[in-house]
This record gives sequence, C-alpha cells and structure tokens, in this order.
Amino acid sequence: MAQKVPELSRAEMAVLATLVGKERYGLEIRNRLRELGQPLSLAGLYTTLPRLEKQGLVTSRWGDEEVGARQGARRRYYEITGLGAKAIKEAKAVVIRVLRPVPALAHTTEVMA
Amino acid sequence: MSGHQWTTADYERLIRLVELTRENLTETSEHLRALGDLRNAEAHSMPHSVLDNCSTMVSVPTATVFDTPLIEPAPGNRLTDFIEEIRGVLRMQGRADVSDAPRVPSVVTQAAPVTRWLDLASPFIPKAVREPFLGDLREDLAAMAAAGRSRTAVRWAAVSQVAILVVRWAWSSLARLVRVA
Repeated sequence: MAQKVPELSRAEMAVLATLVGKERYGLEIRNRLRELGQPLSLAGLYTTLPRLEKQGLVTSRWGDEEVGARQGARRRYYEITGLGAKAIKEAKAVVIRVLRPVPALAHTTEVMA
Repeated sequence: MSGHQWTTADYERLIRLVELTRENLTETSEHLRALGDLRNAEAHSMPHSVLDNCSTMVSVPTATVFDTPLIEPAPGNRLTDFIEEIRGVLRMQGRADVSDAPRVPSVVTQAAPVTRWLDLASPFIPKAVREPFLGDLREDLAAMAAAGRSRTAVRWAAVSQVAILVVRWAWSSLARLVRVA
C-alpha cells in the first residue's frame, strides 16, 4: 500500500527544498534558506527537522569531520527520502496550481496605477 | 584639536586588543568596538580624519603591536582594516618601522567563544537534537564573532536560540499531550 504523503507547512517545504539533490547539516540548511530569502532560526530548524524525520520525509546520519568551533559536537547530515521528494513535488504542484490565476507583477502594477 | 586625542592609553588598548585576539575572541570584539567608537568620535569632531592629525602620538614598540603570528588576513575583516589604518599612521609619523607583511592576528581561525552559559543550558535542550543543535549554534556564534559582531550580539544570539528552541519544544510536547488526551 502506498504511503500517504503528508501535507507540508511553509517551513517544512522550505527545508525539504534545500535538501533536494544534496544532503546538508543544520547550519548549512539555515544558511541556504537565508540565501533563498526564507530565513529560519536554528531553533525553528531543529523543531522542524525531527518532525520531518518522524514523518519519514528525511533521514539523517552523523558526520565524522572535526570542526574546532563546534567543540566536539558532531554534525548531523540530513537527506531527503523518496517520500520527502514526493511530498515536495506535490507541494510544488499545489503552489503552482493555486498561484496560476495570480497576474504577473507588471500587469498588477499597471492595473493598480 | 578636540579632546579625543590618540593617546598612550589608546595605544595600550590597541596592544591589549592584539594580545587578546589570540586568547579571547569575544573580549577582542569589545575592545574593537571601543576603539572604533574612539575613532568615530575623533572623525566627527575634526574636519579631516583623526589619523591625519595625531600630533601627540607616542612611539610604540613595533614588535609589541605587530609581532603576532603571520596569517592571511580575512578580506573585509574589521580588525584587518583597523590595524592597516594604524600601521599607515605609524608609517606616516615615522614613529615606527612597520613592515608591509600582513601581520594580523588570527581572528577567523579562532575557536568559538567559550560560552559557559551554553554548557549550563544544555540539559534543558531536548536530547534528540542537543548535539547537532549546540554544535551548529557554536559554529554560528564563532562565525558571528569572526565577522566582528559585538559580544552582546553573540550572547544574545545564543540565549535567544536556546530559549526559542526550549519554548517551541515544550509547546509541541504540550500539543501532543492534548491531542492524546
């Protein structure tokens, strides 16, 4: 039986999107989200990631590199699962479908003027 | 000239700053900020840059200030810029023979500022995310300090992130309990 794809919140969608095609650790995900203009605090990220993992949308593993600044704490790398990829694909389709009727910005500006 | 003159005390603070850079990154940021404030005060009270008008400068043993380990200075680093500026003044005044070698104390390669508070707060952080969260937070704080952010900003970032995580975690646990009930 096919597993039910969970609905995603905006933060979950953003976090999953950063993991498409590349596994990343927490701070890397946070920095990538900043670059994409979707800032999320580390605290917010670490409440989202365990939820995604529990839902089977991501898996994680411990990194083995040593980083002085971390004072011995290992990095935890997260990777998107097949179900996660399916969920993000569905979320994207929904967003596109919902936003299609929204006119282009240039047109909106003309109308407003 | 205004009351904000480049004095012996200022140089001593600079020397202390350079020494501290090797020992304690967070305290260095404090000194940097203090020196930056001093420089700004000078700049605003005179028509030209403060550094062009330091008639009461004292001789500083070059070795004391600049004999720090040779490293590659980080571009855009406040400390790098500041020391370059001071070096320019010393050269201009003929008070010290300052080499062009980029002798700047290592800031970027320093370990994270020791946040004892973070260690004390760690038992309150959920075990499931404790290690990766604290590691990432320390890495982030180290990057902030290396970028020249103030000690207060670094502390605030640490406190707020831990507090937000604990509150969020408690809230989601409560919500789960309510759902079960």
